[in-house]
Amino acid sequence: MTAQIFNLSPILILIVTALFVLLLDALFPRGDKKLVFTLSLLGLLGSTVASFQLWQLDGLSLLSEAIRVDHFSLFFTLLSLAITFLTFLSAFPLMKENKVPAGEFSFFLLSCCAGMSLMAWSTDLITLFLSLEIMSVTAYILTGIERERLTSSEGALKYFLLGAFSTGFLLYGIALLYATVGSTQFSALANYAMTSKHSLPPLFYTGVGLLTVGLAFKIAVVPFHMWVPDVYEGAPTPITAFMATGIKAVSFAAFIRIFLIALLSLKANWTMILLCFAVGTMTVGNLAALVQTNIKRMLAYSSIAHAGYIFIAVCATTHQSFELSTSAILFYLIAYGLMTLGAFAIVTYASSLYSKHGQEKNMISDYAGFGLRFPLLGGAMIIFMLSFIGVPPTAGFMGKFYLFGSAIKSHLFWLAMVGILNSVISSYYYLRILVAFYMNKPKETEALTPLPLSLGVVIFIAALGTILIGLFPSKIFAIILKTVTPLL
Amino acid sequence: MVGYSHYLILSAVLFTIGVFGVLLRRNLIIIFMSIELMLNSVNLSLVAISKFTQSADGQIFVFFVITVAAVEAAVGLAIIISLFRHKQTTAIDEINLMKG
Repeated sequence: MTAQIFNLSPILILIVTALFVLLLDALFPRGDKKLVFTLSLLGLLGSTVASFQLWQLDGLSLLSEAIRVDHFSLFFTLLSLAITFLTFLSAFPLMKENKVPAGEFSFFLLSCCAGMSLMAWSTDLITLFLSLEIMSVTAYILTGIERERLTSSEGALKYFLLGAFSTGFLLYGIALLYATVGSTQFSALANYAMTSKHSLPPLFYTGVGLLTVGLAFKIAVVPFHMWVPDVYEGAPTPITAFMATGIKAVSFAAFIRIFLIALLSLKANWTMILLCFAVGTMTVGNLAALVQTNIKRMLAYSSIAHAGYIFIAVCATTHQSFELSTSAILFYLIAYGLMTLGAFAIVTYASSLYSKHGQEKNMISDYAGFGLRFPLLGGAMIIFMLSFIGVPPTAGFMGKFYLFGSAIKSHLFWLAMVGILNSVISSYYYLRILVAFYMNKPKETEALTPLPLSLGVVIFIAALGTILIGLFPSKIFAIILKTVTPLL
Repeated sequence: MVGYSHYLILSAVLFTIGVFGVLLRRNLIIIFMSIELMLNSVNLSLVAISKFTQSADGQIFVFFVITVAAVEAAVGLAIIISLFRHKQTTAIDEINLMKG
């Protein structure tokens, strides 16, 4: 029993810290916000140390195969922890200005992180459902946590209604799979799919389809993306970055565990649907981003498009190319996470400059001359935008290289071509931001608030990471390759 | 005699009613109730499957689903109230600040 608790420690530390922080804030409502913030960061640190401790294990199923601790799950735990850490840093100015309640905010963010980790660990449909709900419900609240601002509440409502709706589909899919397979474990699903490959009942396919809908909603795959722009615009900017990177990443983890590991033997039956997802998500995301005038909405559509690029590697996954394709997905999730967190940190600072009377101002035209006024921030934004487009030597370029490379390995040349064409289209709207940054004259010079240190740290880490991963990708790729190889 | 398939069909019918409720009704509270109907129809089929396949997993799952439904009710109603304070309405067509 103690051994089991030790193996669960990364998640347990997060939950205990979350509860402690909430109690502390409730007992001392006038206390220092810095204390809550520091304690949360310590909790994240403790969980990180615990995850590294578990890295020595070779993979272990716990709690009657409800969860599994292996390198794959620890990879996503560490990724969620890093994303949560950077989100905390970006949100610290909001906490200090009392725009968001510090105690509740930290509690929900830490719980969301615990849910995200658990999602990558789950190897049972029940655990998957529960972790998905922990993650989603806290994300609904985090979206609406700026109660004074109407768009925040409206975004939370839209997210909640559509999220709960999609949960219904996911749950019904789980029930149908349980009815046909007689168990909710992924390994039982895999066995069932292998043994009765040629006589699978329609109920099974319906279940798999409904499960796909539920997860596709979280990843924001076209046509289940309608909520993304409104929710991403309404949420506080650090939370937008958190959702675009963290929630998307672990949803991919669950997707890989179910569809690319347990049900890989069935993949040939629904390649067509996956190809439609990939092409549709890329194209719709990029085309819709072209016409946006609000930078948060534009980045929301761009995050849809990037999920589409990742789906190229999902389509390319077969028994032979499993390692390379899934490694490409994991690599891209790191690269995309870094550049998105950095870009949104700059947006957070800029909108704190331009916003007045509690209304957020995020129009691209507001950024006129931003790069000239802030040369360092402008330089960082150039790095992030070039990385989004996929220009060497940035992480985005290497990520796309591996994704499209996996498509070419699986002889999906046309799909790689569609991906490259989409990158070309996307350069229009990313460069439009840089045009606003450097080519337009600043409107008026107001009194400037200096860049908060915590935001500066986030932007620095993100920019440095984007460049370093772009320059030395092979080391990280080798680690990821080792992470995914024992999965199949 | 009420059999296995009757339960599954009833559950499917209830689920469909819930889906159409979400898609067609325009009041927040009724949409919310339709979502609850969807979750509970799944509960019905889980219990039925569990009974007829002689495995306890489904019944345990139902407890989790009930808990999650309660959590969603608490959070959902809180969000609806916070929005109602701004807008004084529960009609979904009037909640349209963000578009595009």
